[in-house]
This record gives sequence, C-alpha cells and structure tokens, in this order.
Amino acid sequence: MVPMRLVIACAALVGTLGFGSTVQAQDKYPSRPINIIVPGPPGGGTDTIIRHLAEVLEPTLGTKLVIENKPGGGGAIGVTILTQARPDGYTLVFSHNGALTTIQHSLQIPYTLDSYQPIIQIGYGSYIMCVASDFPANTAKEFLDELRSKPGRYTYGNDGVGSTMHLAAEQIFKKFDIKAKPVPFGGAGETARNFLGGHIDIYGGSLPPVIAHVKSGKVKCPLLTSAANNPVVPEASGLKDLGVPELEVGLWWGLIGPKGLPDNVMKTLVTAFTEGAAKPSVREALDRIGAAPTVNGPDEYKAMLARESASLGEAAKAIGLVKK
Amino acid sequence: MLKNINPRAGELCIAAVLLALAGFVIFEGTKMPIGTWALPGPGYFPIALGIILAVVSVALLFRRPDGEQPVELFHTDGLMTIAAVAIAALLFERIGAIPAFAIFLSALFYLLGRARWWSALAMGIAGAGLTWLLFVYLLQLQLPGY
Amino acid sequence: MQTVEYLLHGFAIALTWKNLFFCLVGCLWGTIVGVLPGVGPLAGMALLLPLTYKLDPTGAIIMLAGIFYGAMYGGSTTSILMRMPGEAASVITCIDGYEMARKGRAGPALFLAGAGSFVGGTLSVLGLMLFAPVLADAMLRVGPAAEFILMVFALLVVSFVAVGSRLKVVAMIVVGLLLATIGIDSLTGWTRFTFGALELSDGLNFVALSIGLFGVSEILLSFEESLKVKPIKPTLRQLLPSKEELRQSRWPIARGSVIGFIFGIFPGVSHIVSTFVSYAVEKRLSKHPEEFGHGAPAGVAGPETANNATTGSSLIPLLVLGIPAIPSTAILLSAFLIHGVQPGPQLITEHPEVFWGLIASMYIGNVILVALNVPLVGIFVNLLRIPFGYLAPIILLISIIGVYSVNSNILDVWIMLGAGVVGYLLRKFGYDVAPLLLALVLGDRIETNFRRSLTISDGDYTIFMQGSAARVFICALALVLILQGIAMAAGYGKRAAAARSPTKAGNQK
Repeated sequence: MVPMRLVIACAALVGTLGFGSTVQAQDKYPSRPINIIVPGPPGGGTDTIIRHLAEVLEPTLGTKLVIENKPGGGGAIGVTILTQARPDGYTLVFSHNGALTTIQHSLQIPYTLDSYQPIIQIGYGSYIMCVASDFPANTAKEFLDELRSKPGRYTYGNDGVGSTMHLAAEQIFKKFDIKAKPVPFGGAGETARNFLGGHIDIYGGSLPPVIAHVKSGKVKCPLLTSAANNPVVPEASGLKDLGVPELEVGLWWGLIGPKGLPDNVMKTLVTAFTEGAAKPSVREALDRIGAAPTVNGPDEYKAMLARESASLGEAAKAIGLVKK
Repeated sequence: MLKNINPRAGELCIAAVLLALAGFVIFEGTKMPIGTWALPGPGYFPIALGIILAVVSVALLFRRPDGEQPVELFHTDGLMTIAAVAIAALLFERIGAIPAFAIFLSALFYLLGRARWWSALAMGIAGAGLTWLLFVYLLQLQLPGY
Repeated sequence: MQTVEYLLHGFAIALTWKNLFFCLVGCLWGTIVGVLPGVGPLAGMALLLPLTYKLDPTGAIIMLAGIFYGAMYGGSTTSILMRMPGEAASVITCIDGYEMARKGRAGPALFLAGAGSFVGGTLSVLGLMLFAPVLADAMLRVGPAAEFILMVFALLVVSFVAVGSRLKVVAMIVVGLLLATIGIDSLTGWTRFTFGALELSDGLNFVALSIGLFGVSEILLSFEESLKVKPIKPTLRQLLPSKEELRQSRWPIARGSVIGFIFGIFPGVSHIVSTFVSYAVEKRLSKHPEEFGHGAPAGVAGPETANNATTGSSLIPLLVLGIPAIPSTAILLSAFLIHGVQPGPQLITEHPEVFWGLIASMYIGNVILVALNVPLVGIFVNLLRIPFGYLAPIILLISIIGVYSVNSNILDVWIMLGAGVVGYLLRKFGYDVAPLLLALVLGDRIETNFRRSLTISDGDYTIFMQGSAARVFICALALVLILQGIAMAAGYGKRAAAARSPTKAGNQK
C-alpha cells in the first residue's frame, strides 16, 4: 500500500538530482571569498587572532575572509577537512601548533606533515608553569630543584594527555630528572580553577588564565616552555636561562593550505599575511596573550613543523603514549 | 506500517538489544587497560557499566510487560519523515544546504501536508528561501555551499 | 552602603541611549537564538563578537551578555509548543510544558516560563552583585573529588523521580553513562567506542541527542496519536495563567531561583543539571506528584526559573577569577580581552564602569526580555494553528540546521535522526528518556573526576571526604539517601495499607 504520493515524490527527487554541477574557472586570485577553517571553538585564542587578521586583510586582499569554526578531535577534524579540499586557495586552515605537531602522537589521524602545505607561521607564545605564592621556590632553578628533591610528591595540571603542554613539561622534567604527577584537565581554564583552589600544586598551560592572579600576588610563575623570556611575566625564566634552549616548545599559529597550491596563490597569501601580522591591532591581540609577533615564511615554517613534531614525538614515546 | 505488535515481543526485543549492547561493551572494554582499584583505567567504567546493563537487561527479559494492548509501530507518515531527513542529510553537503532544504520541505509538505504538488513545491522553495534569509543572511551560520 | 552608590553609577552607564540600544540588541538576538532549537547562545555570541571590536568595552560586554542570558528565555518556547528542546537547558521543560500545550494551556506555560525566567534572572543578578567574591571562593573549593560527589548527587536525585518501572530507569541511566564514555578518555588518551570516527572523539553531541530523543521521537509518535488526540487550539482568553496555576508556580519559582543560582557557580553543565534537579525537587515536594508528566505548571516554572538563575552565578568565575567556566563565558572573556580589559581580581577596581555597567544592564535586560517575551506568547501560541503536516517539516528543518551548526558536522544530523528513532521505540515501550540524557551529561564528569581524584591522591579513597566542599556534598548525599529510604519505607507502608482496603485506593485514583 505504497501511496501514490510517495512514488511521485521519489520520481521528482531523482529528476532534480539529474542536474549537473557547475565548474568555475578562475585566474585572478582571490576572486571570491576565502574560507578559513579554525579547528577550534569561537572565542578561543586561535579564533581571536585570525578574526583580527581577517579584519585587516580583507581590504588588502579585496575579498571576504569567511571564518569557519570546526572544533573537535584536538583540531584534527578541521585539518582533515582541509587535506580533502581542492588546492585552489579558497579553503585554508588557521591552526595552533597542537593540531599540526602534537595530536599525531596520541591520536590516529588521517593526515601527516606531508598532507598539507605550510603557508605562513604567525605569532609565538609559550606555556607557563605556576605555583601558589607560598611554594618553597621562587626562581626556575629553585623550582626544578624542589621538584627533583621530592619525586612524585607534586601534581601538575595540563591541558590533557598528549597535549602540547603535557609533552613540553615531560620533556623538561626528563632532562632535569624530575618525577611529577600529571593531572590532565579539559583545558587551561579548568586547570587554572583547580590550581587556584589548591587541588593541584602546579599550573601548566597558557598564560591568559593566570596573568591576573600573578598581578594580584596570589600566584608566582617560575618557568616558561619557550627559550626566550616573556615581557608579560618578567619573573619567569625561559629555557635559555636554564641552558636548555633546545627543549623549547611554544604555542604558535600558522596558515596551511591543501597540498599543491599554485605559486601565485602562495605568493599573494604570504605577502598579505606578513603585512597583516605587522598591523597594530594584530600585534596587540598577540601581545595580550603573551605571544611575540614573529612571522616565518613557508620554508622556515615547514622546518619548524618537522622539528617540533619530531621532538614531541620522542617525548610522547618516552612517557609511553601509544597511538590509539 | 507495523501493526498489532505484541507489547511483550517489543519489550523482549529492547531487552535483547540492551543485552547485546552490554555484551559488546564488555567485549570492547576488555581490550582497554582496566587499571586497578586504586587507579581505574579507561576500561574500568565501560566494563562495570556493561555488567550492570547485562544484569538489568536479563531482569527486563523476565519482567511482565507494562501494556497488554497491541501496539502500532512506525506509521507510514513517520517512515516517510525518517526517509526525508535521511535524504536531506545525504544531499546536504553534496548539492548545498538550501536546495536540499527546498527538496526536503517540498517533499514533506506534499507527503505529510497533503498539499498539491505545485503548491508544495512553491512553499518548499519559499521555505528554503526564508531559511536562507534567517540562517545564512541574518544568523550567518555556516551551511555547506553558503 | 557603597554597593548602592556603585550600582547607581552602573545604572547611569547602562541607561545611556547607546548602551540601552546594545542591551536591547543583545536581548533580542538572545531570544532569537534561544527560540531556535540547536542554535544556542554560543553561535549567537560568536557571530556578534567581531562586530563588538569597534565598540567600547562596556557596550560590547553588555550586548554579548544580553545574548547569553537572553537565550535562556527563548529556550522554553519550542520545548513547550513542540516538545523540541530549544536549548540544552530546556530539555526537562519539554515534559510538562508540552503536556500543558496539549491541554490548550500553551499560553500559560509560556507565560509562566517567562515570569520564572524574569524572577530567576533578576535574583541571580542580585546574588552576583552581593555575593560574587564569596561565591568565587566557594567555587574554588570544589575540586575533582567534590565535583564527583555533586554529580552523583544530581544523578541520584533525578533518578528517584523518573517515571516508569525502576528497572527501566536504571537501564536508561546505565545506557546514558555508557554513551558518555564515547570519545577520547581524558585521563589516558584512549579513544573509546568511536569506531574510527574523528567526529566522535570529543564525545556525543548533547544537542543532537536531546533534540532526537525528545523532539524527533515526538513527531514520529504524533503521526499515530493525531488520529486520536487533537491538540486544543488556544483562544485569546487562555493566554494568561489561571489563579490556580499561578499559585502552584509561586514556590517552584522561588526554589528554582535558589537551585539555579547555587548550581550556577559549579562549572560546566550546571545550566542543564540545575533544571533536572529543580524538576526533581518540585515533583518530590508537590502534593500531587502524579500530575508531573501530565502538564504540571510547577514542572515548567521551576526548571525555567532555574536555568535563568544560573546565568548570573555562572558569570562569577569569569568576573572574579578571570576563568570562564562554560563555553559562552569563554566568548565573553575573549570580548573582554579584545578591549584590553582583564577580568579577574582587579576587574572591579580597575574597570568599575565595565563591571557595574554590566550588572545594571542585566537588571535592565531582564526587564526588556520579559517585555519582549510576554507579547510573543500570543504569536508563538498561534503557531500551533499551523496544520501538523506543515509544522512538523518546518520544525524538523530548523532542528537539522541547528544541530548541524553546533559543530558544522553532518554526523550530528544522523545522530539526531538515529536518536529520534531509538527514542520513539523506547518511549513506545515505557522507557523514560530523560534519565538517559542527564546520565549522558553527567557521565563524563562522574568518571573523569572520580579517576582524576584518585590520580591526585595516589589511589587513596579518603580524598572524597577531604575538603569542605566534598564534606558538604557528602552530607547532602547522605541526607537525600536517608530521606529517600524513609519515603520508600512509608510508601511501602501506604501501599500495603491501600492493598488491604482496595476500594479506598480505587477512589483516590
């Protein structure tokens, strides 16, 4: 008793689908809006930076930059979508380094460093480790000594198992022969809450959640995971001060595209983004989250990805993290 | 479409599905590290929950059913609705959101609303247009193709 | 009193034409995203965020906060009219709100939801203004161990009042807890039950599941029931609640305000949990618990008050500590930072105009929202006049878009459809899907915080009794268990007595 209406509807559907799709040909780039995928939620650090960039870039590029949030899988979902996109320069990803150099060590993902084309790297921040103001150490050296003298006694929060922050910390701890208990949280905000409440001893994560508390004197931050010091938290030492700049792991961002982008597209994007990153509003945005306004072109960017991925891979192996 | 289903049969089916789910979860859970009492691993909760579910579903198998009346399952209109949503989901990313919505609305207005085909089509297209206005233009949601 | 002085200053800021305009835009926008199922405050705020770059910080924050608390007003609309949760926090409203609508009381239900929202929202701002620093401290005391106990507490409270056979309720809770294990295990990084789909690595999408289990399943059921029960078309006279309905809602609204406000300071999913707890409390305290599930006004007024009451307190972690506790306040934080305002301990001293302007605007915003929503009741109720064959496709389409827009992920649409079919079958055979949804929300937190606590304590179980917050929650848990035990014993006694005199029991029914 299949109703006649159903038959008619099905026939109409098949008919509609018969229409072919149109193919557009273009030579001048960009000639239509560019989609930029952010592999994270709206309002996050990465999202904020690209929105500032988009605002200054739209006049230069003469087209709209459409920011598309594709959160999930630690950023892997957004990057995966990109690797399947056509390399015409109209689908790009602006990502933090986590989805590019970290996630592959703990999660089975369908892409590698060679599945996409690095375009430009922008901004360089760092992760930070903080303790309560009554912690028996003030400098980075005292802090590490204290941790070493009491193996397994202290707990440190991080952004999650196999996160960039977690691996960066483990790398440093291994070098200094330290055993501390990692306690993974869902993100820097949750870590900060548990740290401020005294449920864990050491905060590990990005700068923004703790900056205000450093100012109020409730918290002190001895150690950064970058090589250089940071003007936002002058009392914290970078790894250069400790003589181990090679262990540096940063928090940075970059633009990538599908493999095989035409040269003119690459050139346009590199020029435009380099200019954009130098604009005051973008520098301010980076400044506020404690990131330096560094810019690296495609070649240095590619080398940077390879280097960080390799060293974090080793750190992951050392703590017995297996890909699942 | 399915009429006069014995409620006892229905309840047994659901209990059996739950039991199968429990079995699957326990089986998959044993592949994960269970950890210790002091430090439970990722397999701990799934296995524990799987065992509870298995017990509950066995108890459900032997429970008296709530109702006595035969039940009707999946009205034709319901099946058509399910199919329409499925087709819309399939077309959504292939032909773009708004054309998929026009097809979806026209089809259901025609099938459920019993509208004449031309008015269903017109309303479907108009509805998809309004959708565009509200979600794409006003709310600026990111829909495939827009 | 200094507070009064500051507040007057705040009103002076919020009542400028410009800020009043931003407040209105935010509230209006919040109502729109609130009404649309799946589309939540997050999407609304993210969209307007870039527009606020050019505003001054006070105006920007006032507008974005307006979306945040405004969305809680709109959330009940589709829940009541169509049983389609408009917001994650309006899931429980579907139960009695929709039943009221089927009895032709859609107008009163919407009206009560609006009134409750107004009371809850306003009291919540009052609480935020008066107790913010104290509550921030209380929030910090809640570590992983205390959070675990709190979540178990919520699950127990709600499971006691679920409908249907005990056995089926337990089955639904266990299934919900199991569904919560899907995704990456946050303590070890194991991916569980994702079947290789990256989209599932962060767990199941609650919005998709709730819309499927409640809304889509209802549409599927309606095709059968439409043959028997015709929904009553409301007349203009029936828009306002009766004296009796108002009387029944008075205390639920008061209690909902308290429950919502207290739960609001606990981070994460408090806006959802508070509604479930409010519903459970009202059902337990009611003289006619059998009316719940069949259109009890208290079952709408209580939860809808509670979810608005969370809005004020969930701003506390952000404003006092500079830490966002839920995704919506993360967007607010980003808006603060864009304008160089750092929320946290120094906010009130360094930027009093932003803080007090925001507080004052929230009082104004709640007035705007109630003025906006009450006239809308008449319009929304008339939506029910659209024939079901047209209304169902439209509401389904809006749900598809909303569910998709959460993560721009088509898999979520399939999950919604699957949940709709499963929910249909479950409801057909007397399973209550509400406990499943709550268990799904709580499951991940229960498991993760349980294991996280043991990681911190090296497997020492006494950690669950350490710290003031954990002790308070343990006592509350014990109290509820004892009361439930007594109630059950009394219930058995009553039932035994009823069995001895069958005629009397028959009359009561």
